[in-house]
Amino acid sequence: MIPSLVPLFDARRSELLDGQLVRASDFCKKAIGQRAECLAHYKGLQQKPEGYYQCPFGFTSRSYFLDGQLWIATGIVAFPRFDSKQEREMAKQYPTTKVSRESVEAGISYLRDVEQYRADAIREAGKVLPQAFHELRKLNAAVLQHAEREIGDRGETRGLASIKSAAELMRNNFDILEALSNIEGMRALPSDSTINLFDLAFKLKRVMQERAASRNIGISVNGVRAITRGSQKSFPIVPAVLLENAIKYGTPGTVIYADISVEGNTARLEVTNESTGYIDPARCFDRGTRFSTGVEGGGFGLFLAREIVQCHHGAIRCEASDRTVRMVVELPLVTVVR
Amino acid sequence: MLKSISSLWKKPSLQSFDSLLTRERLIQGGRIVVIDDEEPLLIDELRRVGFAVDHDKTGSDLRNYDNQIYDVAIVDYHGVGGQLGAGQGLDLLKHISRVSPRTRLVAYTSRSLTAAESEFFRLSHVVLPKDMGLGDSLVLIEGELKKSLEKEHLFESLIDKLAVTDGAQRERVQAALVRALSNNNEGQFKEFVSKFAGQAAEKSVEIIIDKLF
Repeated sequence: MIPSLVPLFDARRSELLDGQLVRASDFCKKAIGQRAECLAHYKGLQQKPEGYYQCPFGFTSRSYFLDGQLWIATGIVAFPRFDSKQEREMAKQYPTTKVSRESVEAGISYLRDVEQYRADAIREAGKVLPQAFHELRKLNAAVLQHAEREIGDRGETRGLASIKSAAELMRNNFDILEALSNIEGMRALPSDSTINLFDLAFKLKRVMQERAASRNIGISVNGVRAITRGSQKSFPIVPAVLLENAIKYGTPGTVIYADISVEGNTARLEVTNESTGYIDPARCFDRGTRFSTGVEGGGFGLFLAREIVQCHHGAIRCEASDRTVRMVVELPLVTVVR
Repeated sequence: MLKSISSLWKKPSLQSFDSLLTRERLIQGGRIVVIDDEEPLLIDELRRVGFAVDHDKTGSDLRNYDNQIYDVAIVDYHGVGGQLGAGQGLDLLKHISRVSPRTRLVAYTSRSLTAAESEFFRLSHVVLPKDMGLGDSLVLIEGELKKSLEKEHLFESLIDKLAVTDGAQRERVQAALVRALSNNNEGQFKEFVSKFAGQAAEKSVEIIIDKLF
């Protein structure tokens, strides 16, 4: 949010914010919590056109809309005045709140300009970033595919395997970003390809084991070759997110278990790790929810995992105890490969 | 006892006629086209493995698609199919899907598509991200090649070409096909299709029947 020069009432949050030049008076700070007519005044402005209004205590309020939301520059005595008795009283008691309507207008105009620049920048980024993103993916593809070619021609070396793993990790991250930026596109993906849960988990173990080793964490994949139907483009994001979280938040010196099992017509993938960090199983799939500030992240991975699992007619849940976090994904089972 | 006797009378499914295809047979028999204005390393990799791959850089000459010669078409979104309309790869995908329903369609892009463009993904049989590893790409393409030769898929393509929408008619065609496959008698099925369609089967239908036997 862009800072205002004078006190500002945020109508959406019913919150009074200090201005950068004029601070909100103690009177206003108290009144907003204690005097019903104060909030009633702001509520009433939501139904009125933009403009100058006097509050019941004599201060000036200037209402305006920005980015589709009502804001009210308030707690000031603005010249030209309403010339009421209460206004004269407030001007005497709170002389630092005296400003001109001209300067209030200049402030609003500045905020509108900044908002316009911001909207233009977002629009421009919407055109440029997908192309930049595409070029990055192409570059990463060249690294991955040439590393594979070298491995095929000359045999696997530690260096080549590391380059390949790094490029595959990068590809996972690109997939996550792309799916987040285009959830509708992700939902439209065909989802009738064969997904072998065990092979997928095992492949991701190979991709992520170096990263896990850097935190002194091991990965163990166990279970049956359960087959389900899904999108080969979007579904791998699910185990990738679960394993990546388990590595990020897991306790060093422990092992992450990826277990694939079946029960009736259900295929189950469980990713279990030890962690001392707090997680709320009910809220962890909400968009933008994070429980740790010490580890990088945006709180989007589990949200996306849930979206993808739901597109695949499945369910995902979190089971957490003091030291263990278990993510359970259940999907319709097609068959089990023996 | 009764159950086991009745199972002897159970009609065989189309799947039961799918012969085990070795990788060598797939490589020898499959025809793939990559429609892409760029030169992806994937084409070279497919050729190194032995697949017959055509590289169509524009998607403007539609004769090969109209003649249904490909088992798998790998279609990029941007820079191809411009002749068909503004939808580029999407229009090309729609065209191939219409004229050659037996061709397995692979949406081949690493771009993030808009909601409107995402029909490109929806109409394809599978999505192959361009930045996928070569090994994984080959596994996916081989899987599609295998599916293109499966009787169930070819039957659906035939139904599409014959414009059969009625459930009972569909069952008649399927029963005739199962009988002809059981007798390994392509001529018997061609005759049925001629009577069914009211005229000699057109070339595009004959191509699918040839693939079925």
